[in-house]
Amino acid sequence: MEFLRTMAVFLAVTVSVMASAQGGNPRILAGRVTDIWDEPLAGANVWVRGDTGNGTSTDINGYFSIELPSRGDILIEVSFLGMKSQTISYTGQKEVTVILEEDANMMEGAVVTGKQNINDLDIRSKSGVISTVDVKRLQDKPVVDMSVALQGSAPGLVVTNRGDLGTKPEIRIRGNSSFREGDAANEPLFVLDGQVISSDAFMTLNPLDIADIKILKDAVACALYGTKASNGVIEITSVRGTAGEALVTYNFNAGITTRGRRGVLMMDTDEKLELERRLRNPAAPGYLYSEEYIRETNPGAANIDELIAAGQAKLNELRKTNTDWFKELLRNDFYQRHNLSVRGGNSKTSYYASANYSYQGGQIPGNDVSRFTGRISLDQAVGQIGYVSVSVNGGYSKANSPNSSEYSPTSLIYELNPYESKTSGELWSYPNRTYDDLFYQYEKVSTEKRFGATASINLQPLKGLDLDAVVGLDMVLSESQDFTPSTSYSEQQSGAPEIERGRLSRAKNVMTNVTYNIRATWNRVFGKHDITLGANTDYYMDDVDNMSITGYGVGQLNSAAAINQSIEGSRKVSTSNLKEKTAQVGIGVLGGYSFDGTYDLFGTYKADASSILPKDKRWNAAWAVGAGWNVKSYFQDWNPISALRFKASYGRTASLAGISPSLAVATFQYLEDSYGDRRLLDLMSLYNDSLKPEQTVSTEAGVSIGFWNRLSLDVGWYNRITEDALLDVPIPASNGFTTMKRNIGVLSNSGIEAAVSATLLDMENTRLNLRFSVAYNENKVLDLYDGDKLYTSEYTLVPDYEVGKAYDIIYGPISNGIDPMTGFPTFRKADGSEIPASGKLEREDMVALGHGVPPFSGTINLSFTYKNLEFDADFYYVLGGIKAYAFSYVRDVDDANKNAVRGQVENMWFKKGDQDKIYNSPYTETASLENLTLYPNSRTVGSSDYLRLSMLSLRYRFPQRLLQKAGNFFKYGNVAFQASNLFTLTRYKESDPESGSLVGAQQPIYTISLSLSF
Amino acid sequence: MKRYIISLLCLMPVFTGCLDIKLENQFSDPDAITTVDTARELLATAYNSIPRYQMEFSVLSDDFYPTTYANQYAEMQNLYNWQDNAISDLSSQIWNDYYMTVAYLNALLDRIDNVKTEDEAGALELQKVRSEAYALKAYCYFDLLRIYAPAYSEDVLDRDGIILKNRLELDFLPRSSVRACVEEIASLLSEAAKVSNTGNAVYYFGSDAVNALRAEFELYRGEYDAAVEYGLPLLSDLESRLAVTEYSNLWTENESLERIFAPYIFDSFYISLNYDRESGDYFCLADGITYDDADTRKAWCEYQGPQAGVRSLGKYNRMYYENSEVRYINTLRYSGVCFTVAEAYARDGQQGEAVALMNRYLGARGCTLLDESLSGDALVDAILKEKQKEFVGEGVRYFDLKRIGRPLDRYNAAGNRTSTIAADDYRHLFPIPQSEYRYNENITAEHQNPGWSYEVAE
Repeated sequence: MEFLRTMAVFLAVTVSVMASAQGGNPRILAGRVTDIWDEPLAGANVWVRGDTGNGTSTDINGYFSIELPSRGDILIEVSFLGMKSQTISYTGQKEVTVILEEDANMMEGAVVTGKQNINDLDIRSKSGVISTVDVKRLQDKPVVDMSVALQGSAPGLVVTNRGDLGTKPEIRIRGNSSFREGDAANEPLFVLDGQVISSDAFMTLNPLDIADIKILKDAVACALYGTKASNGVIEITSVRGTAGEALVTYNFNAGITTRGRRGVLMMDTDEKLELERRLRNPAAPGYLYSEEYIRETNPGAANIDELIAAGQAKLNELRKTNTDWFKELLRNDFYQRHNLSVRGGNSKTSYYASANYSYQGGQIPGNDVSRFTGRISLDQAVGQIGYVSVSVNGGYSKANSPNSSEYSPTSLIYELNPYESKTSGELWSYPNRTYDDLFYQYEKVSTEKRFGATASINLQPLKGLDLDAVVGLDMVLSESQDFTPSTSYSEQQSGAPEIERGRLSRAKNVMTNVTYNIRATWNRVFGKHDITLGANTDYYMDDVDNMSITGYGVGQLNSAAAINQSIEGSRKVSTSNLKEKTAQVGIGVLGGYSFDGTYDLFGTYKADASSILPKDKRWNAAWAVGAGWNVKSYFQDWNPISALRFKASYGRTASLAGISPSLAVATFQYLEDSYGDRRLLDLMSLYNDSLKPEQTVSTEAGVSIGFWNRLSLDVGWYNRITEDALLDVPIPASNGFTTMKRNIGVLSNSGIEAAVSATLLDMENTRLNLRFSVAYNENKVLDLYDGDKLYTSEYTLVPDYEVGKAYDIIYGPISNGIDPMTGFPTFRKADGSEIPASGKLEREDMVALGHGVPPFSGTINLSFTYKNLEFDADFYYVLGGIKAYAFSYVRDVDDANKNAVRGQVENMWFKKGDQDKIYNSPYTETASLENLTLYPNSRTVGSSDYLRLSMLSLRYRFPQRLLQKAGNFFKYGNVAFQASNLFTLTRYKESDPESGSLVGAQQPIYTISLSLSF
Repeated sequence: MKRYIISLLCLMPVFTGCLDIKLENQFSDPDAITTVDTARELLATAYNSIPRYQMEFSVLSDDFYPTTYANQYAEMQNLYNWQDNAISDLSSQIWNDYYMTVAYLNALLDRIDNVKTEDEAGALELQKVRSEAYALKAYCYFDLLRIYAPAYSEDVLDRDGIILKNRLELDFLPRSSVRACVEEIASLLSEAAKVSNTGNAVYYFGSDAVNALRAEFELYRGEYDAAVEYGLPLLSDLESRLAVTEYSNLWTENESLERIFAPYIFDSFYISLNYDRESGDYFCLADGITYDDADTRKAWCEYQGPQAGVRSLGKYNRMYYENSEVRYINTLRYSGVCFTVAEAYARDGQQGEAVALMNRYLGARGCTLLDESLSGDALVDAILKEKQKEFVGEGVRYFDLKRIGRPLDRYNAAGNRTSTIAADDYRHLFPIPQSEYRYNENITAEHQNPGWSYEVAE
């Protein structure tokens, strides 16, 4: 990192020296290339007619600048794949904006270019539902984690942060398609340049290396990937070289990360001491030093007044301290990103190379992520008939965290008392421990080393026939090391002898993905008929190799080598290894037909065989049909409606996500122990020999419409039905095993996705664009094969799945509040009667409190350009869900020594007759509060709606004049203020409506960025 | 569709060849259990999973009194007091655990016919594996039947017994009648007995163990002749097996001639009786269980722990205090066969034989001999009394109490009687667990044991 910093400084200095050394005033034309929606076209080719050597291509924001020869009559050609080329004549203007229109017959005469995502066929996009992520906005967002940055970038793509910085977020396209929870069964497929990569690899990509991200949502779009794509596909295309002289870009971002939202206000010293006095637990000073306690414990003492005065003195001493632990424990840290890239080439060869370093500090000391990535790609023309492309990329990322499952220093914000401080010695909240005993208890380092290589060849040996092949490899080595030093409190208290203290756990996990895909596509136009036929075969291999070791006795050495291997018993060193390799081969065919650029039909069938299932069930199919109708072609010249297109599709895909071989066939493995003189060979699970893959059936219809090239509207409806949905269901215990993976029923996810984008202002110097999107998802159980209800536990009152009902509903009783007489919460039964917290609730007393998964989500994007000034803002919102509150910061007698939520003194029931209280009596046993602790109720959940300003960017582009003055050395340059997660508006009363945890909300980041190209 | 796929299959033999991926550390059917060694290893998993509820059943019986610590362990105290919830919770654990062992045995028995043997020794070993699997399954069924079905008599033959599971695959089975259960156990045992299985380690279910179990089972179903027939041959060298060193070796890692079957364990056993080593135990020996000073059992049944004036249990509990590792769980012992045969004689009217056998045992233990004039119930009572003293804390007494139908007094820590469980109390039959009636359509309200609730959400 130090090296990078030095290098950055060195570069900046060199650049400015060289800049001032340059002179002269050649003719320069700067400009921007966009499509009709004002979306920038990155990588468009710009060249001087008759002089192909003098050319360049646009940057990621569509900008270019070209040096012109000093002769008259210069024509400049601008072209972009899939767009009609344009020729503009140079008449001495300094800047120009070129708007390219879509080319309906783009296959004809399209140039062969290097393309690695070979499933990205043009015919696919005519009837498939594909959202394109606005990569420019993604790059403007200062966030290190690629997947977190993706939040809100496309309707229907839901990214949910799950806590600590560095934790993988939950990524779903259109909700969970399976009854099964978790990533294995519901995560989309990630494809980088035609190569399947793991979600962990995706997380560590460098956004600046990415040219394009497509979210494939419906069956037609996904079917080319076969059974792997049942949860949708995220298709990433990386930046490639372009013809033109070398363009070096240095991009620098630096700023601060802040503490973020304070969800729960905790007590100050006065209120806390008053609460302690009332809770009457002498473990807390507020009661221990109170007059009543001193009188009670010293009846008839002669010096009672002295004792009371001494107690008061102690309390007054405590009152001098008033620590705000939120501020004390959380911190502001910094964010930085350096990116250096170079690209260029000629009409035969082009290249791109980049290096990137990023760092983001988390809220709690010890939590941060940093990442280094590098990428090189090369495209080489093969004679006149095609291209060969090679790209190699690698990365190293590291996340540190002081939080473990047993120990979280972040939670101390809600536990340490305001009258305690870092130096106040033994803590009341943690008896026998000081502040230092609470920190440096645990550390965890996770690193990821990623390597990927892709080679592809795109040939057009005959007119109309494309042969494409891509081969790739992606590897991620994830390592983690958890260390609890022997000096930590938990180890000190463990009762283990000194020589056995200090725990160390180390894991290494290598994930390897190998992909190959060969595709032949034939296209021919006969008059108005445009026919496409294709076939492909592909292979995906997935290998997971995990090794881990956990041992004790390391003392204070954070090293696996220090493990004491002589320990027997529960602290004995243990190792584990999981090695699982799965592979899939597929063969597919497709056909497309267009008539007159108006009607499109597309069909694809793919058969995939997977090693996961036994031989007789190995082959599964994915197929889809789609149709498009371009109504606009009837009134090409009538401008009020600038675009109108209908799409519909239907498809069916088998899904093998989250299935392992041991589920379908009896599989045995050795346990660590032995029985007498024999190893133990264990049956892993009760296999299901009638296990079938889930079948996903999707139906989709959509319309896009544009008015005056100013306003566009996209609306899509979808319905995705999962048949033979798989779930680990409980089975009668007389089978020995208590759960089994079974095909249990049919469920549906349906919804509407809509986006409106409008150009509100479009003047010479000023543009204002607004985009609003919303996605609604609704899930429902359509059928269960065994009856109409399914309980996932033998004790739950409400079935987890019920025919006709949504499966993300949170159920609980209606609370009648706190009974003023008893201080216990009471609940309303279905017949209107009241029952106490210890009463027996029945099924009918449980009402649907709300959706656990918010059904609505969307974004508002604003872009404003004035001359060289650009302003962008992104809002992300989530509506319609609820989350249960933790309430862990409400204290009763037993934990009176820990800090409590502000207002508890006023809102807690203390004595008979206390009306309208929120918190129940503190003098109680948990057993008598069963209904409160077992189920959420109408008063312990809150709406998780929120609106977040997720990105703000204000950018100033240096005008060409200025750059010329600087010596014509810089081609482009800009400075920007960029920020992410600036604020979150929500009614949710705890910290984070997104993760639902008290700690780990996405933090605000404010940065200044500078980008220079030369 | 299928045809299409099949034709594709023919087209792509090269491709699909790469899909037969062998997992490095896992073995899948049909190649998983094909050798005698793997069969033996799967059987070892079944042995390792044999439920260990010796302490819980002792708490339920009259072996123990609660100590002043008992109220610190609410779950166990509730169990001592035979509270519904405590029995219900224990019941679902027991049910799960026994059927887990049965599942392992079924997994083995389903595959054992595919095991290839190369020589005679291999074939013989495979026969032993098969015999042990049958015996172990009978052992599980027998325990389950005694826990979940009424005490055996001609009158209960048509009442519900337990679920008989004959294969590994998922089933939704009804409870079989007591008659069918008894027949199944008898047939499993006679299958097991067909193989002569001697010379193996004591943690495998050998021929002696099969015969001991048969004797106990025949006594249970009132076939006294058969009980004697199976049990008596095991007692030929009783005196050497009951030697003092053999007895004290029972509670060590050493071998002991008195063991017939003792599962091997590596982890801890019987430690939850203890509150902590400095303070003492939750339960201690009941007042009625006393030993003369000459009684060799005294050394290992009574233990003076840290609680003054409290007679703690010795055996595994003492081993815990003394930090010695438990490696064998003494499950079937020759002294147990002695009691079985003696009781069968006594109930069959052969008092002389019964007393003579008992006195062989008592003599070896250094105890006062029985009066030769004893007969009838008094003789049976005397035998059972000694049996309780021999097996205190080993979970045997609970089954005897249920079998002979005797009321049971409960005490508090002060030694005062708090309640009495009647001989016909509904709790003598454990409830069928909720998992069964929620997920198994063949277990309905009428199949729940009487007195227990049967709640199924609508």
